[in-house]
Amino acid sequence: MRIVDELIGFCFKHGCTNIDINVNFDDKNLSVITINCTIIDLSKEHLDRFLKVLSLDRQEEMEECYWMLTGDDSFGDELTLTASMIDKCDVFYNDNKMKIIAYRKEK
Amino acid sequence: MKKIITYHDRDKPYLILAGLFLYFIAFGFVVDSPTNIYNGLYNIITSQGLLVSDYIAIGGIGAGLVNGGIVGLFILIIFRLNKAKLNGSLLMTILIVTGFAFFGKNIFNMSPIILGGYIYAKVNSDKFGKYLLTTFLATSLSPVVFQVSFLVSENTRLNTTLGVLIGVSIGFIMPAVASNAMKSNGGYNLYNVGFSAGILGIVILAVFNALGLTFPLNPHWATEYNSVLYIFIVSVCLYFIIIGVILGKSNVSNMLIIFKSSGKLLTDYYWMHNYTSFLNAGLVGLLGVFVIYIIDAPVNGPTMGAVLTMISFGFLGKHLFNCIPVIIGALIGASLSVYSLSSPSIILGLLFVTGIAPIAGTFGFLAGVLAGILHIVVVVNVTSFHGGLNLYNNGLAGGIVVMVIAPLFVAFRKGDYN
Repeated sequence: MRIVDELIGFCFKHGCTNIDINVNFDDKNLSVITINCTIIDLSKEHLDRFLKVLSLDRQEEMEECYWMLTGDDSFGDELTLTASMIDKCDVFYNDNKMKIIAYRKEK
Repeated sequence: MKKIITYHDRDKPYLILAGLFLYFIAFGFVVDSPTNIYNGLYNIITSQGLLVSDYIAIGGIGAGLVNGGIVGLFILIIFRLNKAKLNGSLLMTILIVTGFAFFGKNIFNMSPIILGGYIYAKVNSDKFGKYLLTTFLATSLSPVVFQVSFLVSENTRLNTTLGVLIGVSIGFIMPAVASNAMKSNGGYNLYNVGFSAGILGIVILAVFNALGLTFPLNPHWATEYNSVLYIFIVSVCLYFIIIGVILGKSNVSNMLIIFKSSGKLLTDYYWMHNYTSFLNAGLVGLLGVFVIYIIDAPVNGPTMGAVLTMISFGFLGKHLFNCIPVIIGALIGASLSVYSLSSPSIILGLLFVTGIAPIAGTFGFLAGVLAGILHIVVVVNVTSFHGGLNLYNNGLAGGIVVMVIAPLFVAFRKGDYN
């Protein structure tokens, strides 16, 4: 839930509409969060930063300490906490439609 | 997109820090004799360790530096044995704990707490590596181990057993306590484990008081080694800067990104910008040395520990532009107050105030100045809450300040978010 909170926080911050969220837990302990939304004219700068931060390595060892901070108020595009908790993320942005798919292996 | 940015080199940061801690030891042997160092180390491990116990004053300049180096190497060995991948949080942990080895921590009073964290991990069938951060930061309550080990009764064996048991208990409960306290500080107080330890210290002191056990504060504060220690601490800052300049890539653009960041947890500069973070850490350290210089404070164990703490958070949230506003605020607060600028609490407060730098980074310069003013007036009062048992006193003060003012700033900024 906290990861979803952080990701849709980014979308809301950039004026998204029509948000659609799907969370899937499969039997291989893999959680897949899919977010579809419309964001009009998301700047290249913000998109690049979003991509760069989410491409950072997962920091499983830090989760115990910092997970309580996720889903908190957020005034920046600092999604580093989210990045530290997911294994992989696919982001697509085309014709003002954004699709984010985040994968997290539960261990 | 796959996770493409990986830890570039697992061993290099270990080697860099090992080189630094060996430098501490070598410097100690250059400025002092082996006999003095041996006797000084004995004085250090048998001293109270309560705030403010300057190990340079208690053990001498050589022993103080050697103790710092030994503690640093001890932490590195434990981290390496647990195969820890160093990131900004863990680099911070290593350096801050080493910094406090100049005033209050040594291997003997830290070990029971570390054992407690290890037992907590095993009880939870988990890797100790996940608890290294909270366990090692929990050593801020190391003075508790000594107080019980030496002072509770006249039965030495009973005292030692009790001291070790209480240390283990602190290490055991701290991961859970720290995780919860994190939420109350919302990531704006970088010394959040210090805040948790402060809360726990208040409870421990209350129990001691209820049992009729009192520990008089006996502060030590060296003032006679200024010139030598200036050379030492500036050289440490330059070491980080040189590492950053040599090994960092795209330093200018990365530093510009760092300067624009709020510093709010989790802003891990090593994770995001790799060796450029060393450059940032060294610059933040030099800012600390500059503050010591302009207020004409002595360079001693506690002030060097404070500078090392600033360096440590140069990997995790601090940079020049979020630190300067809170330092200015603290200077204004100290100047307007009845407290002397030469008092140890004020001097340390002026350096440790940078723990709430994310307030300036998130809400702006004036917010940072206001937070700095409040921090300096709060910090001189909180030592009495825990009787000096918590070495991260400014973490407790910073946590209190942040809990009061951050919700206010957040309320004003809600409109921005929406």
